[in-house]
Amino acid sequence: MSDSKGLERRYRRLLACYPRAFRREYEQEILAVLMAGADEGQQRPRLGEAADLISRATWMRLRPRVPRSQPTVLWAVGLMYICAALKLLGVPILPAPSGSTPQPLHIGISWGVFALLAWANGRRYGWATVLFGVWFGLHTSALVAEIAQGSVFSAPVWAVIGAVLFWLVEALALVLILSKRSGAGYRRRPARL
Amino acid sequence: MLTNMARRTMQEATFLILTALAAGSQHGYGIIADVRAISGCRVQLKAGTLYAALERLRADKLIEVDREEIVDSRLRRYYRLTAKGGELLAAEATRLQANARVAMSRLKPAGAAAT
Repeated sequence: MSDSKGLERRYRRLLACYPRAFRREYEQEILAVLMAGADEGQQRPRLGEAADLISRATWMRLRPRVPRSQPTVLWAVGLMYICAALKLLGVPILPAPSGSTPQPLHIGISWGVFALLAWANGRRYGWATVLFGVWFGLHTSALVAEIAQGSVFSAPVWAVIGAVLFWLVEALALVLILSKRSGAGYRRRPARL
Repeated sequence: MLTNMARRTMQEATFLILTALAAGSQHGYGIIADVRAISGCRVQLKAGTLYAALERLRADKLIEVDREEIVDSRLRRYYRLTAKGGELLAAEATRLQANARVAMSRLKPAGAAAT
């Protein structure tokens, strides 16, 4: 019996990763299914089971809450997550001069901004669209300043390509988010899960 | 009228869950066991995957809650297919059947030639 209590406690800990609204609706049910599928004397969740619960819970927290009738918002959010991934890979936003190495703090902040923008736009918060527009404006002006100063010519080719790629992805995301089809979504309040 | 989902290829797990519910209402663990049986033990749904799918199918109004019971002080919720879910499953089954028929008809001459 103590084994069963311990297993249940561990399953509950894993289920705590899910958003509160989902837990309210399904936690008892999932727990019943997990306990019914447990082997006699099993004390810990199986590795595959735990990975499945954690990955599903993470996706539920990050996924866009946008109806399928508004694919433009979904694409825009996807592009913002691509920007976050590019940043994690160390792709520079601005063409860095030769020999300079990306600072972990700078990468972390940029990644955080993109992840936050993707998450918030996926929930159709109006401020997130405005913030993304401001971010894009600042990025564009910084890029123009780099080109005007000529520092872009001293940067390695991969850094220039990376920066241009970043700008294009951001520009496409902004166009999608400001498109007429996306606009309808932003007038509504974000749906609660 | 079928939704966008009908126009996309249905994932196998979704197809099997809807198939499990086609014969009557079932609870979560029952669906897992039925999916395993339908697929000849090939598809073993995990609880996280099942409930992510059930939540999506409920949101799309393809399934609904039939009834709830408390068994051994645990909630047991039974799900059933809606009319829309049945329509979508039938459309997908027809599509798969048509594809399989074409594949078999094309394999027959090759098999005949080999023998």
